[in-house]
Amino acid sequence: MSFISLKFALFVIICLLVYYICPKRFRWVVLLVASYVFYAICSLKVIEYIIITTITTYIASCQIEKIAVGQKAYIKEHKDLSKDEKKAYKSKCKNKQRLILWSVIILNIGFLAFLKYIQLGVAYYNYYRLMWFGITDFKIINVVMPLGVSFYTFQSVGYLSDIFNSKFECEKNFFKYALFVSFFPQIIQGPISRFNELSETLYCCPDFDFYRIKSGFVRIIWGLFKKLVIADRLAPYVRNVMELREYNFEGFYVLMAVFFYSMQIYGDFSGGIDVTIGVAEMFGVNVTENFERPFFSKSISEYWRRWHITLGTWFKDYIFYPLSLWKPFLNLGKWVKNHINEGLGKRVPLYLPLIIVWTTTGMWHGSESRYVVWGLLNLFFVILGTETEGISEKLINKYKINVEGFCFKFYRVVKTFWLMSFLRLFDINKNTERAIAAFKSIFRGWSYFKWEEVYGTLGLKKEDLIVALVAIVFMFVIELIQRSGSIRNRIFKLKPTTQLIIVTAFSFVVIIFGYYGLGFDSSSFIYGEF
Amino acid sequence: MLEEIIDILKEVHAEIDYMTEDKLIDKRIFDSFDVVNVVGELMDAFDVEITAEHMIPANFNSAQAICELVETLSED
Amino acid sequence: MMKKVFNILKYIVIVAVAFSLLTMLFMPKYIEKNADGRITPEFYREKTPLDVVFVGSSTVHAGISPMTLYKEGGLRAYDRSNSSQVIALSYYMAKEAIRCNKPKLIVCEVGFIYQEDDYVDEGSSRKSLDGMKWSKEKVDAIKAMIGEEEHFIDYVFPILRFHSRWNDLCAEDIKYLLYKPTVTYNGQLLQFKTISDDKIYDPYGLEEGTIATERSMYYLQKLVDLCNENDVELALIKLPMINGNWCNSIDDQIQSFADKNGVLYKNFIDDFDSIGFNMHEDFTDGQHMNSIGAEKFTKVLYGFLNDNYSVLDKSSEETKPDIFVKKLNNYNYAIENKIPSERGGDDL
Repeated sequence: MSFISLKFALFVIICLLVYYICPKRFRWVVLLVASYVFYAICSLKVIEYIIITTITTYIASCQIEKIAVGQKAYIKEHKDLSKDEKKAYKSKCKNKQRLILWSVIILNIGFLAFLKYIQLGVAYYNYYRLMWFGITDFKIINVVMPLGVSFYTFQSVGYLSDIFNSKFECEKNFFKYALFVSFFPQIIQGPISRFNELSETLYCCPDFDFYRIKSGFVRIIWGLFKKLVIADRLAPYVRNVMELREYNFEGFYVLMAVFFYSMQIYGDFSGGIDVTIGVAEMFGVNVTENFERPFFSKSISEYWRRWHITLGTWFKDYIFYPLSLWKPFLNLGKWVKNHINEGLGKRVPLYLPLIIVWTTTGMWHGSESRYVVWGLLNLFFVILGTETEGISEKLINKYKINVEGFCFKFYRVVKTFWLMSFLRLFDINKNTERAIAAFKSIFRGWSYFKWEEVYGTLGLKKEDLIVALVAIVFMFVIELIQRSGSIRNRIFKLKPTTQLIIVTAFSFVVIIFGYYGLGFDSSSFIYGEF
Repeated sequence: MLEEIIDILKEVHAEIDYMTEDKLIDKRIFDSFDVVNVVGELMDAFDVEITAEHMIPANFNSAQAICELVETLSED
Repeated sequence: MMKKVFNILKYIVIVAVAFSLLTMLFMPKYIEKNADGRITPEFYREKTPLDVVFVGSSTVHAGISPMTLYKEGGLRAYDRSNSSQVIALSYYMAKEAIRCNKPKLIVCEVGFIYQEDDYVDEGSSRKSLDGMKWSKEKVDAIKAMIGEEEHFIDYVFPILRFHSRWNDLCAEDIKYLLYKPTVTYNGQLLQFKTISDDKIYDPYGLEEGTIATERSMYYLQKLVDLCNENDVELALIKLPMINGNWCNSIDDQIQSFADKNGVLYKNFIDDFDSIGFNMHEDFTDGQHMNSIGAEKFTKVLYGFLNDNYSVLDKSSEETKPDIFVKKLNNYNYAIENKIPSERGGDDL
């Protein structure tokens, strides 16, 4: 069941009715049932994966906490322990906890890796059998990816890690925990929530408030606008250019595709997140934001703090920090500092973890090698940014550039935008070679450009192009206004009739200008018989 | 101890008044690189073990908070 | 409290009205062009009890003239046909007509009986179904006709189907937003084009051995049962044509089906000469009569119906002038002046 379907709308309406009719203390149960019904509708065949993840992380979290509680009680009881004895006992406990933590993490990440890489593995297996032994009976494995496996795995592993670090108490009620893992609005595409944040509103439903319904509704419509009016309209053009590039669709065609793909992926992803947050809001649940106007970022590292925020913080908290504070890395850093170079030594505990973070970020996005290349290129530009900070500062001082001025900020925003857009070539092309070839092709063939080809062969009609451009400008204008506070709050301060007109009119805009359905090819309606 | 910590912090960002600033992380004055650098220095200077569990914004938002963190850790 | 409820209701009504207006704006109007899309909705304007309802594909609304039947013998008839209307859809059209209008006779044109359902393009489907009033028949008909890429919900909210017409909206859409003139003559679409090229007379052009589809036969049987249950007579006919798609194997199949079920089947193809057709004057193409040809043919058809169905006998009935007199005048005027339906018909 796609988010963008009337089936899903109907599902949400039914859930909302049941949810608010139910007594308050059972409402979270309604959400749990709804989440599992949703999961079963979408992905019943492989529902066992999410159940196994839920059970294993639940048991592990309880066990880890039990050990921590036992440890505290033991130390309290045995006040006469020496400092070393205490330390030894603590480390014994920590090791036990670590064993539980790692076995469950390996199990769950193992599932994820297995599901993502088994097909690739089998392909290699077939390839080498053919190359070395000439065996041609290819093995084929059809893997059905469980819905949202990357998201719920990360979310529950993060939870377990938080319990290990005693950031908060673990959830004792298994079913409440199961809801945290499976909460249906965010199962398809995140965000990856933190338990301490989501649980604040997930289980304690507030009273019915129409404000939340209309506010959630507007958020959903806004998401649909980004997805249906912008993203889906541009998708065919981007796809066609990348497929037909060899047929003289180079230069400006590709550059335009690069720009449009950025708009498409942003509209698609952030629009979907808007729907998620809007739906959750209707249930009185606050889901954390995943985007913060990323295209207004002034550097790559800022961009990654504002795009897919929850994934970035997940990698930061659960991979980057632990690794950069990991003894072997720290020791290696110290050794380099003492024996080779101080600056390099300082960088070892930073850059080694970053390489791992960005390789895994790439792998998380897709199993093909091009995603690893993409991740490492991101890292390259992040490091380039930090390492050249000194030089840029010198240049800025030398030429007396006004750093706070509009022009300089604008330059940095544009630079960041295009850099990130070009990196996305790895996302839209089948492999690294094609991505690089696509990038190179931007610099030639500009004289072949014809708008007629855009409107015809490449599948972006003139009217659609105009609608898309107007919608993109509108989206950015709205985002700029958003910086000074929520637009919805401002709308809802107006007279009820005005509110109704604005919301209805905007909904109609989405219904009319959305790019969905069979399309109206008037020729299929011509009365052909006469 | 506080002075020593502020000296370490000054190495990363010299322009900040660490006696008053209490939103080093929330205001993104320190990014994750800076924090990791600071933590490395702290561990060397005070012989404490800072691990992932201590990596929460509240522990690094001000010089005072860092000082308290180091004090708790060295007591253990 | 009451005021709050009233306010909410008020808002719901406002939004619903706005939504309906939007839908009406975006639905194709089918008046100045593609007027076949008006056949289904205009049926509901016929309030007079009917004697005969014709169902079938486009050959019916091209070649059967209900006004001529009225002129000949006072029969009140209606063409409930659509472009590419397969037997399944004809069944639902007949079913609804029986429920609403209680005709004495249903005449089913079987020309499309060998066509697979996927022959019906989505556009024709929409033209046939969108105009239907909501009823069980409409729901069943949609379910029977819906294509793989279509969704039922698009029929409930046609704006979801036609929203992309924003680029095609024209004066016609505003002009006929609220009121649509009647363009058919009891379902018949008038047109006066003739064949320009020299067609070769070859009506049995379909490959011998072709037979009706299983699904068509299933619905034909349902149609027979429906008529029996409702005490309505049924006739099966095949209209004459110049060249195209009929063959003896299907003809035999229908004949034996008709014999088995005790209904009449009449193939008019072989009456081409006795009807008095002139190929170059009476047809718009190989399969469709124009309105001149339709008059000639309908006179013969009247004879056939009059001979075989006593229920249609009007001799004992008192003829009192009704709306049909005015309709006939309009029809006569349009025929004399060769005014086709697609130019916008006369108001009735």
